[in-house]
Amino acid sequence: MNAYTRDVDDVISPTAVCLIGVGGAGCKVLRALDDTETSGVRRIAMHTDASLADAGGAANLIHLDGGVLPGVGTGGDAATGREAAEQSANAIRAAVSGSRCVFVCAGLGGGTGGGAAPIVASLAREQGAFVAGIAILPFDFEGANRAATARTALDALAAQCDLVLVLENQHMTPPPKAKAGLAESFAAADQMIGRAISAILRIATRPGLIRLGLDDLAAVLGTGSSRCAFGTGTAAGRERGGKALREALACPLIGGGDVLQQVGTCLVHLCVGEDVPVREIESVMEQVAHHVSARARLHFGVSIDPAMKQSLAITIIGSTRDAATQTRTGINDVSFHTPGIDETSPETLRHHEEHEQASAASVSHDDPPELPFHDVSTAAAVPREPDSLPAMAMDAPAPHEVEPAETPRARVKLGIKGLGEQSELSLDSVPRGRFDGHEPNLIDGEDLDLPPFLRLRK
Amino acid sequence: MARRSKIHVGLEIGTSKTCLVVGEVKPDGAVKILGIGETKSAGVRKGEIHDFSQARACLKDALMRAEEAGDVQISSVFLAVTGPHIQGVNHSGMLRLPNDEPIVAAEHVEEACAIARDVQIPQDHVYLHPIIRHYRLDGAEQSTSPVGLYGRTIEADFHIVHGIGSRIQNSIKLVREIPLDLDDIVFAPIATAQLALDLEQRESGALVIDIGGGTTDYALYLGGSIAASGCIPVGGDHITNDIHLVTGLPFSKAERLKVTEGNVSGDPVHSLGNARLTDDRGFAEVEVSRMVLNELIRQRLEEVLKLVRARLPAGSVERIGAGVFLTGGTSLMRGFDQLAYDVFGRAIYRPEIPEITGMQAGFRDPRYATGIGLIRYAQLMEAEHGRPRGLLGKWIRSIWPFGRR
Repeated sequence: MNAYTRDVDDVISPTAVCLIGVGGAGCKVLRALDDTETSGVRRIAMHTDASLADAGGAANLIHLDGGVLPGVGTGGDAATGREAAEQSANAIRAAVSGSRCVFVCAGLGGGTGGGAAPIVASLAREQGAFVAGIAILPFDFEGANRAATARTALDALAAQCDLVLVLENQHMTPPPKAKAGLAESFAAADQMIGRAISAILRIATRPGLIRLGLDDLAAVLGTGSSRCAFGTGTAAGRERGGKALREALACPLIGGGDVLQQVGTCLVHLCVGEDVPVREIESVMEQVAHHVSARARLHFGVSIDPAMKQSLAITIIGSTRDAATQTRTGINDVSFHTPGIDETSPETLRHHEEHEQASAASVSHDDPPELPFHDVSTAAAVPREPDSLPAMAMDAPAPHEVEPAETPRARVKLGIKGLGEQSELSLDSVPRGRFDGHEPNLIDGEDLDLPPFLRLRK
Repeated sequence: MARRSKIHVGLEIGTSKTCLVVGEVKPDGAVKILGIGETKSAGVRKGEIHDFSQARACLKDALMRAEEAGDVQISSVFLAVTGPHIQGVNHSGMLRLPNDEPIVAAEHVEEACAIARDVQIPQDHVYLHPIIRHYRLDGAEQSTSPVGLYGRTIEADFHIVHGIGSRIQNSIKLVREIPLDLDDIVFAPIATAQLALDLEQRESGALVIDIGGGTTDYALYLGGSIAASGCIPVGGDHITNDIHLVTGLPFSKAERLKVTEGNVSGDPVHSLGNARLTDDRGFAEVEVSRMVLNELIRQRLEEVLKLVRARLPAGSVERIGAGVFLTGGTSLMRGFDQLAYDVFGRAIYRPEIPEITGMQAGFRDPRYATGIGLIRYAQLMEAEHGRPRGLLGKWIRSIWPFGRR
C-alpha cells in the first residue's frame, strides 16, 4: 500500500474544538458524553442555576448570572436567560477564544437553553469560530408552550450558527422503550445526543482518506429547523459492514431507514482501520444506496484510524428539509411545521439544491463577526486551501448500479408513508384477490372488498 | 312420561367453518354440550352459500362428526343464518282503545302487535324474527303484556329482522336435502347474544359483535331488549385478502401471517422489525414489515367496527352500560380489545360462558359462540312457547334404533 500522508492542517485538532452545554439539558448531554471519543475536546457547562451546572468531567463551568438572577434558574423564561447570557458575555468570550470549532448544545424548550444558547453562539462566532448548534427539542408531551419557546429559540440559534443539528427528544427514544420510564427515556435521549456529537467530532477531527469536513456537514444539515436523521453503528469481524449498517439503521432517529427515503442530502462516513479492502467499502455503500432515495445527494467520506483495528464504524446523517426552512428570513420569522416525514417535491428539491450550494459555499472558518447571516461573498473572500482534497459529493447513484428500495432476495419490504417512487394505485384496475368476480361490496360508496390500507391512502 | 332431557342441535354454516353443536338441555334447565362437529367450509362467501354441492359435502361431513362426537343421531337442527341482506329494524304499532273499553284486552294487544309487525319490507324479503321489545301503555313502558290494565292507547315496539327470501330459502333447502328437519331459523347475532349476554347485561345495555370469517354480525341490547341487529359483509377473510393484495403473498401464507403475527393494538412496540414465516426446514419463506402488516389489519378492523358503530341508533353507544362483547374467530386477533376500546370507548369483554356444562376447553373458543348460542336460543324458545311441536317425537325417533322416520 502506498503511504498516504495527510495535511494535518486540514484536520481540526481536538484541542481546537470546544463543546458548550447550555442549560440543564446541555449540561446533562456533556455528562453523557463518551470520554474516549471526545478526549482532548474542551467542555464548558453554562447554566443559570449554579446548583445544576455540575457537568461531570467538564473542565470549565460558567455560571450565567450577571447580577440578574439570584443563583437560581430562569423559571422557563427565555428572555431572562438571554439577559443573563448577555451579562456574562465577557466570560463566554474568554472561554471560547482560540477555538476553531464550537459546538453549542442546548435543550431549547427551557429558559436558559432557549434564551442563552443563541447569545453563546453569536459570541462564539464573533471570536471567529465555526459554530455548530445542537438543538434539542422537547418531547411532545412537554406541552405547546415549551414547543413554541423551542421553535423561537431554534430560529434564533440557526441564524447564529453555521450548521444546526436538530434532535427531537420525541424521536430519540427507541420504540422498544416506549413503555420505559421517563428517566430512562431522557437518559436514552441524552445518550443518543452524545453519540451524535461523538460522531460529528469523529468526522471533524479524524484524518480522511476521502475527506469529509464540517463544510460537508453544513451542506447536509444547513441551518434549517428540519428533523435530523442520524444513525451510527460499529461492528467488527465478518460481515462487519452489514452489521454496522444495520446497527446504524436501528437508531431511532433514522426510523429503521425509512426516514432516509425522504432525505434530500445524506452524509455517509466510514471510519476504518488501515487495511480495509476497497471491495468492502463498495459493498457497504451498495447496501446504503438501497436505503437512500435515488434522488438524494450523497456526501461520502472514509477516514482511516489505526485505533479502529478490525472494526468499522459507519455514520449516516441526513436531514429532511421542507420549503418552510428555505423561506426563513430572520430571527422573528417563527415557522411552526410538523416535524414528521416531509415529502420531497421536485420544487423543494430544486430550492433545496440552491440553498445547499449557497450554504456549502458560505462555510468558512474565518467568517467576519459583523456578518451574522450566511453570505456567498464571504466564502469568495476566504477561499479554501486549493491543495486540499475536494469533498467527494456523489450525485445520485447511477441506475444500473442501484435499484432503489429493492433487494434481490424475495423479501417484501413496504414503507407506510411517502415512498416517493411508488406510483399511486389506481382503484379501477386493482385486483380484488379472492373476491374477484364478485359484485362490489358497496357500503357508503366504498367497496369493502378492497383493503382499507389502499383505499384510505387516497 | 317424566320430564326428560332434550337434545338440541345448532347448525352454523359459516364462511370459514361449518359447525354443528349438539347440546342437551336438562330438566332443570342446565345445558350440557355433548359434542361439536366441525369442518372447514367450502362454497360459502361472506356468510352466503354460493356453491351448493361443496357446501352440502361440508355439511354432511360436519354432521357425521357431530353425530360421532355427541353419540346421537341428528334429525333436526336450529339453523343460524347471516348475510348482508339481513337487517333488523325497529317498528312500533299503536292502537287507540275504543271509547267504551277502558281495559286492555288480549285482542287489543294482538292488534297492536299486528300493526307493529306490518313493516314495509322490500318485496323479495321475508320476516325472520318479530321480536317484541316492550309494550307501552299511554306512553309508559311495560315490559310485560298490559292485558287487564286500564289505558287509552297501547303501543307495541318490535324489532323485526328480515332478509331476502330466496337466499334464506336456499339455506333451508341445503339443510332439508341432507335430509335434516329445521326447528327454527335464527339470525346469527341473536343466537350469539343468547350465549354472550345474561339478563343483567341486557338490562344495562350491551353490544355483541361476532366477527367471523366472512361477516361481522352485531346485536345491541338496551334496557333488556334488542335495539339493533345487523350484518356487515366483512370478516377475517378480508384481512387475509388485504394481506394478499398489499404484499402479494399467496392466501395460505397471508392467512398464516395474520394468525401468527397480526397485532392490532396500535402499540408501536408490536410493530417493530419484520414478521417472518419459516417453512418446514426452518428457512425464512416470507418477510413482511410488522408495521405494514399490523397497520393494514388494524385499518380493516377499525373500519368494520366504525361501520358497526355508525349503524347503531344515534346515542346508543353512550347508553351501553355493561360493555361490548367480542366473539367470533377474528376476535382472537391480538390487541383487538384495545382497538375496540379505541372505537367504542366502552368496556370490552369476551363473553364468559358460565351456566353451560360439559364444556371442554375447546368449546370455549369464541368461534363456537353462535353454535352454542343456538342451543340457548332453543332452550329459551322452548321455555317461552312450551315444547316445540313434535320435537319430543322426533327425538324419540332419533334415538330409536330401528331405522329413522
